[in-house]
Amino acid sequence: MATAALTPRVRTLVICDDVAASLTEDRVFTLEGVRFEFVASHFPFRASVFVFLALSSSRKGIFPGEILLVNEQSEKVLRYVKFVAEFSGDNQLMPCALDLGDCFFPNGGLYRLEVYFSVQGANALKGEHPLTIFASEKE
Amino acid sequence: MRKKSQKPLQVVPFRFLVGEIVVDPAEIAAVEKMRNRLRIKKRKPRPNDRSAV
Repeated sequence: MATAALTPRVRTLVICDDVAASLTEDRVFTLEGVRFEFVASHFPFRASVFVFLALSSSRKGIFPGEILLVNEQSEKVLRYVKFVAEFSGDNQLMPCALDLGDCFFPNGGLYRLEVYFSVQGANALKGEHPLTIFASEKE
Repeated sequence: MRKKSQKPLQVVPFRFLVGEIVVDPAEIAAVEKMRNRLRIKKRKPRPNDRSAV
């Protein structure tokens, strides 16, 4: 069967400044500073990035995943984060947050977040999201 | 009184924050290679793709 069919599905991908778990309810989260862009006053521009994912899988298992922050202009990987998605049962929905840390953006323009999952040594691209860096007009 | 064999109930915190930042240049180069391979495969024209003509 194709790798894409065997690996988890990325139902939601949200870029934000922080993710906090509720102190009173399990599996409830607060996303702070949900964004599609940054406005940079200078370059290289530094920003702390979190990614919140809602994953689903039709079958239980442990799936190694990778998230990449790619500069669309140079096609260079700015940030590479490995994670593991663990589904204890079939047809589960799993939330997870990834701390990408402080990312340095060398120039303005379009960047892209890509989520890959692998199974049996083969990888599949399961989610993409653009992120734009605008240069501030005031000098 | 609680029997010895009885364990107290444990609240297992839900692990939502996952991931490990990779800084090894060799691993980053390997993932770039994987990405390029997948992107080339993705861009391969299909038999009925007229844009490739």
